[in-house]
Amino acid sequence: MKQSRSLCFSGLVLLLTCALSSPGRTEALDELIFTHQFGGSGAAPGLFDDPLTLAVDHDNRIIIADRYNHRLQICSMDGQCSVYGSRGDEPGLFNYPGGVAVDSQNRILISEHGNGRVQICSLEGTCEYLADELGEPRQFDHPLDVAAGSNGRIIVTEEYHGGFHICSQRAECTSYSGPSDAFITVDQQDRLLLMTGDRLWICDYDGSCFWALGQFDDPGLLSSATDVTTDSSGRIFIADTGHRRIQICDETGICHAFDLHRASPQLMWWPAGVGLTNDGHLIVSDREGDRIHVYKLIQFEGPAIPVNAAINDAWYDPSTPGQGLFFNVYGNVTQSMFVAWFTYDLERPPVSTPFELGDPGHRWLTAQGIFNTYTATLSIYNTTGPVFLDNSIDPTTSPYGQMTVRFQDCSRGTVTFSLPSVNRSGEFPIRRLTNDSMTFCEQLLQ
Amino acid sequence: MNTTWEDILGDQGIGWGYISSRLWYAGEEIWFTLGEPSEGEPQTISLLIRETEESPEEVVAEAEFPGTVSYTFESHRIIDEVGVFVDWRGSGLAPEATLLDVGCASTGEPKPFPINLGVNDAWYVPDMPGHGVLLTVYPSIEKVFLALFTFDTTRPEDTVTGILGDPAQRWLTAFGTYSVNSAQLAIDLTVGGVFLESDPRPEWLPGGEMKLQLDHCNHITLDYDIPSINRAGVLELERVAPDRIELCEQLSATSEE
Repeated sequence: MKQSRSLCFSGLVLLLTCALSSPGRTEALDELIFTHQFGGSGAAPGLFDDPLTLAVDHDNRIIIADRYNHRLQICSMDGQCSVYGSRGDEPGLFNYPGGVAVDSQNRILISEHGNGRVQICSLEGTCEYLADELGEPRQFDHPLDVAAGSNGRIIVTEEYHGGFHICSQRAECTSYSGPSDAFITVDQQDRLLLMTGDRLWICDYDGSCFWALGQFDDPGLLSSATDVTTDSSGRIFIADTGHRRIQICDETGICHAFDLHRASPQLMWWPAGVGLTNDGHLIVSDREGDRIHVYKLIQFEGPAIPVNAAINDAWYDPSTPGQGLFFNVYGNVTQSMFVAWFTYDLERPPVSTPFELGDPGHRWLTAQGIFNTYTATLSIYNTTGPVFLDNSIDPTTSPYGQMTVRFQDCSRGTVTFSLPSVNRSGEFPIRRLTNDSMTFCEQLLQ
Repeated sequence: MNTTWEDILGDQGIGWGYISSRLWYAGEEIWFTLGEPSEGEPQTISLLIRETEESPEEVVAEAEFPGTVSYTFESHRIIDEVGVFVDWRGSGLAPEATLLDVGCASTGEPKPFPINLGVNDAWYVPDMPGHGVLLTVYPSIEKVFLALFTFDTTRPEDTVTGILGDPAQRWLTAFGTYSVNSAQLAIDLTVGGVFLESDPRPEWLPGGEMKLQLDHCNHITLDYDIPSINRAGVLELERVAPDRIELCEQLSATSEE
């Protein structure tokens, strides 16, 4: 859209000042976009009681250790769950299942804290113990987590103990000393990643380890971190449980934190289990809320700044005078945004159109939804029905489209919209009407 | 201005020595007097405030027991709970058992709430769904920009159609200067545009006047007068969500200083 003029609203001509620049981060940025959640507290299928860890299999099924229900649940992305097992000490039954993993054959590995064993299950629910040639189960002391390594190796960590055990399929195990009380995963380079609450250790199969992540200050500060997973590009995803956030780190210690507490309609309390699907979704379990949250993992080119309270303002596209948007950012309960968009119909109404107030071409839409770090993902609504300042006719508010909003800096943003019913979609730049809130915005970013 | 316990509470309840959600004006004093206990060994009386449901309790004043503990608010604040507690060496105390007196006094007329950036928000009339007011304040130039999302005065005939939204939708903007807690605004009727197009270029026509008064950080009185439709009236506005009340109160207190 051409930048024809820098004026928007009558009466404000003299108020516009040059847009100050407070550039956001300019590199390719990760973003977690909340898409949906499922679960809740209980024992019925689809409900959970302390979903401690999870894994995602090769077909994007989510396997969840439903710890205090003493079972596994295998769920589809849309939250349809099947229950596997119940409390017991036979194969296929579980006693405080803690860690889950998926091996190269798409089998499920489960560590049982209560029974002190590891089970290997098919998706159909047929299970066997990790056992020696005589069928004697290998006993562990309160196993905490399990991972699938190369060549069929199974790695087990224990609570209250340092180190880890590397076992063959026949339960021939070699034990190594090392970090204690660790959750574990295996990365693309076949290295062992051990998370011990405030530090991430990277170990080899020979037991040598080094402290890779867990800084003394942000970014990278970890608190009671639980599960960890990695992607094909080497990024490490950590459930930073105590901080109620996810950290995405590279090996050099550069981390970006994503606060999840208020980034969904049902608050995230204790992010614990993490898993990645092969179509770019991050699955996170909430131990306290007993829910599974699903986020779309995207990358986009910066610059961008985090959405913040100083976004509350009147914004407009300089190329379309007489139209604009008001943004309202809320964060006390959930990270939510409300937008009021005042605009016009797609075509001018006939001159003969009768009206009393304003312009028969006037239109306004509202939008609301969740914002994550950099991106607000909103549903657009159309409100119809009432007349001027009259409460005798109830309005009807209907879904009307989608909108996303990002801000390049404290004075510039981009709105992307889709209005399917009128076959319109697009993107337009926005600027603040004036820069009074710029300083406040910059203070918040600091 | 002395007030009785009932005056303070109004229709609100008291639970365990607490006064629930209330606006406290700058200069207003609250006190609790507690008498001899029937048992135990109390040491101090504490006056507590909890700003919001999620805030921690904060001890703002202490006094020896028996006696009176009091606190004077330095700025306008909406406080979720103001209460009294006696340290009873861990045994606890139901304060109503020994509460002899409670009251509040204001040092003269309540001070106005200065308009500030914390007013930037979505506002509405609770019993008028489907309408809304969006406000933006520009402190550097002491201006207020307002948008009213509403509808035409009558529903259009069925023959009147449109492509986007509802043919009855209307919006007004208003702009003007504020001083302390009130603003005088000129209404603009922006006419002639097309959805996200620069052409045709809209025109701005004078549409009437509005007077806005910030009564406190969650209440605005908006007088409007729109001669073209021969309509005038008053809207009592509240915020759609309370998130920015605290910021408004902080900035209001700052501007008082």
